Amino acid sequence: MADIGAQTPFFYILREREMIYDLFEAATEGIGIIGREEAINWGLSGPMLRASGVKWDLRKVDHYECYDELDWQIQWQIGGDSLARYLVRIGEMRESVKIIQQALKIIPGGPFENLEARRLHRGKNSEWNDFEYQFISKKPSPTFKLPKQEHYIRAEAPKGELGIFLIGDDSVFPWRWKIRPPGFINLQILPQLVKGMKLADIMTILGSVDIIMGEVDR
Amino acid sequence: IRGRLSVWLAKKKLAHRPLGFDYQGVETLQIRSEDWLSIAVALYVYGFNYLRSQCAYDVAPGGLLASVYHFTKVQDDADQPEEVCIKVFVSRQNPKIPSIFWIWKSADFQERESYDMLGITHESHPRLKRILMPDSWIGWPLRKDYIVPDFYELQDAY
Repeated sequence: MADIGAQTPFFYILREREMIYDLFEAATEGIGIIGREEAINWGLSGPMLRASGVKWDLRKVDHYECYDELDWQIQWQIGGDSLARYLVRIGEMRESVKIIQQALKIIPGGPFENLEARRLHRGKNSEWNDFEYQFISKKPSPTFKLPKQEHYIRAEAPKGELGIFLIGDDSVFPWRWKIRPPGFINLQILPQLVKGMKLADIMTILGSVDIIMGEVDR
Repeated sequence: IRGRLSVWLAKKKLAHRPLGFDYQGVETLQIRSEDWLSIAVALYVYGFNYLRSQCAYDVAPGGLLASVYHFTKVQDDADQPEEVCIKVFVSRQNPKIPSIFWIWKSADFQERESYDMLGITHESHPRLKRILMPDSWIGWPLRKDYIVPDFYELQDAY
């Protein structure tokens, strides 16, 4: 089931375990340790890098969009074991809630347009239900053109650093579109992490790496 | 104008060719495949400790294949750190690039993926085998002159 991408069972299991908090700490502490230099060398990103003592978050490093106007801290831990990764993720959830609350306050005012609601309100004969509007999300716009440049754009996904390397070709279709999946690159370290651990710890390590196989395989 | 890294490499007399700057200000250099290992060590010494992504593409159908590496410096509390983009061009008939796995381990799966999709052999890479396609696949899928085999699912269903 984890192959399709369902990771909520991992969280449910972790929540159940937190009821028996001592057992949880014993099960995750010291499992799958990654040192700081190793984490940088293996190219990890996201919660795995931050749990190993590196204070690296693309939202602060790249200064993109409006994250500079909001007041939030990078969650990081030293001691790169599964417990540290878990704490980083929980801390990130809390920080995200704070970010959302601050962002809600600075939404600019003014009227907004909601075509879908208008279409449903007017019923079958409205102009919004026309042939043209039905396919409006399926056709590319007539002025869309990818100029002949190459770009590497990155964003901070929950897994890590999601990068897209795009080489345009002066047309609607790109010449090369490579996605740098954070899960793929975070998975490289798995054989090294599993060395010397008990068989039952593989599930803990895999859960803490937080893998979505769909992103790995593409 | 040459970027900082280009000036530093020229001072150490390492062969490279600066390709100017990207549309976001990222310095781009072109390196020959024979010199790549020594320059990679020099980059690690310079401070680039994070291989962000390794990508491969073909420049023109029938032309060269290119392998692109993006490096950056990861520090605590970083603030738009230096980054560089290295391109290595190889011929289509004999694409061989020395593997940088032993310097930056993050090249492990990524080099395997560019081997699988475009056929670029990375020398001295441990366990270089196909990663996304099945092991017995023939052909390099992402090359521009690749012909997709006639799958049952792709034929028109009437």
